[in-house]
Amino acid sequence: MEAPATAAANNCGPATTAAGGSGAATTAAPNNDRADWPTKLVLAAVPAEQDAQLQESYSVTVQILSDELGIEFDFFQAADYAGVIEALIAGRVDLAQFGPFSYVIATANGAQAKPVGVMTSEKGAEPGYQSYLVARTDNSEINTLNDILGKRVCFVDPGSTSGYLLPLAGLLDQGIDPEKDTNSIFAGGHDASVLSVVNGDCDAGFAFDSMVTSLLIDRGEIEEGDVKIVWESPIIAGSPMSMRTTLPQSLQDAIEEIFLNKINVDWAAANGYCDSPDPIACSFSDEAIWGYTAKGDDFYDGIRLLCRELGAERAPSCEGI
Amino acid sequence: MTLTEKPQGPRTSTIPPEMRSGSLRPPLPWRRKVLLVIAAVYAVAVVWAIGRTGLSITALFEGYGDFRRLLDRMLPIEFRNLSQIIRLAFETFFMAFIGTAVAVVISVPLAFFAARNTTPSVFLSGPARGFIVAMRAIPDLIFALIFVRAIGIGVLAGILAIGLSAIGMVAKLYADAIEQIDEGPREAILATGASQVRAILTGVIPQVLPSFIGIALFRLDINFRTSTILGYVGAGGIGTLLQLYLSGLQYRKALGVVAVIVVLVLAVEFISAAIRKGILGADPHSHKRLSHRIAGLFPGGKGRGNVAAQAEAASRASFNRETLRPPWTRDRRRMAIFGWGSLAVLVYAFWSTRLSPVRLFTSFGEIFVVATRLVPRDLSWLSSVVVRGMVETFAIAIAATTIGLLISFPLAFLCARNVAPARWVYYFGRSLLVMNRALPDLIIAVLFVSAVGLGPFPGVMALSIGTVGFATKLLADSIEEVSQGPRDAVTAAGTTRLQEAFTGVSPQAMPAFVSTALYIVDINIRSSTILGIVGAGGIGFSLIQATRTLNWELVGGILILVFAMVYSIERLSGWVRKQLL
Amino acid sequence: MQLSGDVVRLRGVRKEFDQGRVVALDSVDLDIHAGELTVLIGLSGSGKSTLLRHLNKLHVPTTGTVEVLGQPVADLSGANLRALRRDVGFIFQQFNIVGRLSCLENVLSGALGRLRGPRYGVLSYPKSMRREALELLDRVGLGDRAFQRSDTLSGGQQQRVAIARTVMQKPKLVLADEPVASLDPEISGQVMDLLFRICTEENLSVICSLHQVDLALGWAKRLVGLRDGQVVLDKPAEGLSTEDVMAVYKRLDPTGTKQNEYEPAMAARGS
Repeated sequence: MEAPATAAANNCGPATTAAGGSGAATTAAPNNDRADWPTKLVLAAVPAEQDAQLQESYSVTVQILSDELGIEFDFFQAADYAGVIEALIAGRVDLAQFGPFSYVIATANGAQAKPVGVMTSEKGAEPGYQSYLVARTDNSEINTLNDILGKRVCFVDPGSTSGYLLPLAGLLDQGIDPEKDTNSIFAGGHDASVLSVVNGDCDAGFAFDSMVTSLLIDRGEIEEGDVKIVWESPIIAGSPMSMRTTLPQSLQDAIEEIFLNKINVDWAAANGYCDSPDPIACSFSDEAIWGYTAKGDDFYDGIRLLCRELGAERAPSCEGI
Repeated sequence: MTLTEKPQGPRTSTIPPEMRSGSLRPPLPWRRKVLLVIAAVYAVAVVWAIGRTGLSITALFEGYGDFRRLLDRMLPIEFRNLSQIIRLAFETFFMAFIGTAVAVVISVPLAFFAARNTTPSVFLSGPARGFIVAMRAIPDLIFALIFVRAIGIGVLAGILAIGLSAIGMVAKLYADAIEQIDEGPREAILATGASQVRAILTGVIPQVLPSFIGIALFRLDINFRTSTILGYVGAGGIGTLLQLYLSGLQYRKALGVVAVIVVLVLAVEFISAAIRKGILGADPHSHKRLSHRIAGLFPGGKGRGNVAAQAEAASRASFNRETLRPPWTRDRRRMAIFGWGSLAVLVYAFWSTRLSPVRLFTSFGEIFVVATRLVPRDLSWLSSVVVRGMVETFAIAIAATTIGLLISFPLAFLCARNVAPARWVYYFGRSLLVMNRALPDLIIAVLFVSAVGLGPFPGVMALSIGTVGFATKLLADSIEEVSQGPRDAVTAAGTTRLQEAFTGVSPQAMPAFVSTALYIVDINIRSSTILGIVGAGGIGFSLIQATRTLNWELVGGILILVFAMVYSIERLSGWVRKQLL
Repeated sequence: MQLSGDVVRLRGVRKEFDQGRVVALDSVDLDIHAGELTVLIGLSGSGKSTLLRHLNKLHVPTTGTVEVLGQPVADLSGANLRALRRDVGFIFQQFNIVGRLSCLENVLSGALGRLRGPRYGVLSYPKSMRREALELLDRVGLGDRAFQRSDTLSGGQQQRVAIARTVMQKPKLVLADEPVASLDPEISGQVMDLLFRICTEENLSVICSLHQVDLALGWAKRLVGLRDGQVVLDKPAEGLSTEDVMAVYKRLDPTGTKQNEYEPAMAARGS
């Protein structure tokens, strides 16, 4: 286990304590198995559809991975997933942090990849999020999904899962066709959708859960109690760290082990990668998360089903899924 | 001419003593030395940029298989919902039309303020010029993102993005046109005791009108093409559909949309060439260069007016000697048709995009609010990520410009009407250029990401390929402007075509080549923003994410850096150009 | 090297422009003998330039044959055409030197036909050629201007550079298309003097079109007059009076319209 120990030793300060942990980690991959491991791995990240909040926050993840594996990492970010998916298909990206929808698109287009773990906000919590329909608290006319008939409704954009696809499915379930039965508007962002409701441009608007319950309030853009939640969608699977399955099996096992046991605020804080086990201070990605939870590919069948139900006609980006 | 030049009589050598022996090296005045230093710095920069962006020929060859596999998934092109595509394409055209109108309306007064010879005060020309450069420094994609965030998804955001980013070019060219006028007529009108404004209306406007129209038509063409990318950020038009297909990785259908765009771009270029020929043909001087720019693309599009014939027609045309109304000559009819026709299209464009002109007007208030939020209050936005991103963007722009120009130079000789070895080569080349210019940079970038992985390397490749169409067109146009005489003389010495191109054509086109090259660097710095979308390096990712997350100060800060970079390159290019002319 | 016999032989040459709307040359038969100094005279638009441009295939006749230095020009293309052009120097009314290049490089460009591959910059030519070019510049009195940009020279100086360029080519035949029409009378005399003196020194055959009857009579061995594309005078210069020559200039078309010389040149290029 010389390589990982050296990598950890290069790290300054308390990180040297990670050397002990790394020894335990790599027992999963006996030394002779490392012969077919590449000398360099590529990690790429696409902001999840929940508008990213932080900048350049993958450094801890990359540090833990390279320390534990003894492999150098290249890290790239892209604003959209097309490039990352194609690079993954071509085998030029090994690990990719996708949003749920982009993971589904990737696998549908022939990317040989599986989730190694799914982002979760709290230890043990089910990794996923919801879409909310909100209206102004003082608007007594809108209390259920059916009340939006004939009203101005804000969606996010036609490619957004929680800002369009999920709400669309919910509305169709109720027999409402937003094209015909409402005056629908694309606001361009989850925040813009909620803010349009607050300032009266829309009577009701869709957005993902934490935009309503915390982000906008934290940012000071709305006050708690400005809006009420009229409808909640079913829970949609969270954002997966996807791994190329054409990597050597022993390496895949080692990576999976790291993501499930070490890339979380508790382990990172205990091993000196973070000062405290707080998701804001100790960040692994562009979102404030606790860490990763084990989920398989079938975790995303819900989105696939949603796409099939909506069909390519209503959701062109769903075609082929 | 002095008598000392007389070659008669017993000849005394005119060769200066120091040149009577030795190897006859050209002398090096200090300006030439500075240029050589700049060239050397540039060469070093290219080497650095290639290293910084990780360019590698072998990686490119290794990636060929993946490139091909992805290309196979992109072809054949598929047409789905053709009627919807065409409807959206027309919406896009109308967006471009209104956007161009917005740009022209703002640019005309701006240009008169900015032009040295018409500005009321130097305190106005400075800020006007600064504003124009600033508009040019902001990538149109970022304009669109900002407007989508500020006023919501839809055509209005797109139109504003098109309109404002066009000001940078339109107002600059307008100001240039004003500065190039013949001052005589204006002085004559001032001499009659007329006011400055009257003198401009009567003495300047008629001189610059053909240029103004030509520039507007040229920009309409560009706007139409760029408006297709704006859909990526939800700014309406056909780009929305393109983005939907791309987000499902349905390249075949996306390329189907692109094919429709190509056809429409061709149609727009045809029409604007015809309009130029029809209404501007009578004035062969005021728009010479631009007419080459625009009309040179197409057979028969080169507007060569016959002034004498037109004047004769005008004198023959009958007019009522009582009322003294001007006669309806062919020119006047065409001008009227063009004027009223444009107005009709504009009205129809507002009607068909359901955009109220009042809303367009009031939106400027909202833009102003956003603009104030863009001003950084301190330097907290300046992080190592931003610095690294800017350095990488610079490296990408330098490397991509160099590669793109290396491809463009030989291509330009094949695409220049007067140099092309055969007519079909010229037509074939020019059609390829149009297609290249219509192909979205995003698709090219994705292809290279697939071939060589993420990072600045595919960014450089995509940007080089993406700029070939534009650079080759500009270079070919400047080759078409070289005078034929010296070329004939060189040919008459029994040279090969290649020798003639080097000795007869290149030196003449040299200044144009240099300014094109520097202009392309400038463009590439801005358009590299788009690379951030697919993870192909540069500042683009930070800029797009900052806009998406409403981190206005960071957006403003990055834009200031981009502005500074573009502005310094422009100043440098101005100086270099002056030395080379 | 001196050729004997005819350097140029034209038989029934007719040249039409604009699909026959303009006839620039009409059944021209003409033989030019080696070592002769022939001057073409005639009004603007009478076909002088067009005739000269046929001799190095800048134009191709619509009908008829052109033989230059014993070779039928129409059949030449590629390397053979270049070889012919190398043997035929051409001096233009508008000088046609490449303005942005230095005088020396302009002279050097005359040697391109003797070199392989493209050249750019003075230093890309062999050292001996650079020396040769400088000597030639000296011969036309511009040895001190070698590295001056040629578009900074006066018209007469530019034409002298062009003469040096032509001699650099080592031609057997020199064609001069109204070489002094753009110059004032005094400079014209100097430049003609220089041109004919150098050509005589080099023993070259010269065909020169000229406007100035006095210059023509002063220098030519033989005068050929053209009107409306036809040969109307062909006599040894000796014994010709000014009136004989002026007859050629009898104006038939008072407007004297002159077509653009370079438009047909571009059209012919495609062939």
